[in-house]
Amino acid sequence: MEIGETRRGQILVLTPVGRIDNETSPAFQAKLLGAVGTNGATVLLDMSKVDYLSSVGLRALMVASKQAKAVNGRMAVAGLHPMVKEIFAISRFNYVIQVFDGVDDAVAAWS
Amino acid sequence: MAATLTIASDLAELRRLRAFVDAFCLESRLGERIAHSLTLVVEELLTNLVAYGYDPGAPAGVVTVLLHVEGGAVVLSFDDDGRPFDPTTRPVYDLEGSLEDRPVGGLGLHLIRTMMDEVRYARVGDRNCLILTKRIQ
Repeated sequence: MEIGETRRGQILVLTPVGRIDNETSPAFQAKLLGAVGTNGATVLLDMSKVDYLSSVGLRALMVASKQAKAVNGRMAVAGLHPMVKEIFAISRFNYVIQVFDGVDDAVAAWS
Repeated sequence: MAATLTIASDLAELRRLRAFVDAFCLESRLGERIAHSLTLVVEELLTNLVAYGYDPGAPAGVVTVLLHVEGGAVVLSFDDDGRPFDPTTRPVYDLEGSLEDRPVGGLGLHLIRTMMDEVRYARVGDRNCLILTKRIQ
């Protein structure tokens, strides 16, 4: 899966593109775990280009979020597509991972 | 309007399954939201079946998926020859837990049960028959 990567100051912004499902989730999870693996890493997932997220994608987010916490890092998502937002709401994933409206909101909150 | 697809219980069939659901939703003018829910539900169902439905190393089973619109609802029937599994009797997923307490499994089933308005199960002979209904607003 295509995952864009940019920096906003100390924040690493990852931008996955397309569906996060059975096929793409292993690569997505590997990339996330790599990003949050460093001590104190601050990772923001820009989800504005993801229009589908199944339970394997949720699991990947959960695993990465735990990993981030374990190394005193920070991880959040921003720019959820309406369909993905619904999945987050149904699963109450706002308890699991911080959600920002947009990338700029996260950058402002973390600066 | 009705459509049937028979596939193997194999993750390689996910694309075909997705295309089948997309085509049905388009033809039946069900809209993007319903299409999204149905796609997610069939994908979770097949993934669960492949992961837990058969003994390791067993040959792939046969799954029949039927979609039809009836009385203001879209009805999805998912019929497989995996081991007996009644998702309607599984405990409700605990949503209140924080990150540490959340079980990693059970999310897929939770999505299925929440996105559909009704889920019914029957074991018929050696097959699991699930009938899932979603109202069309």
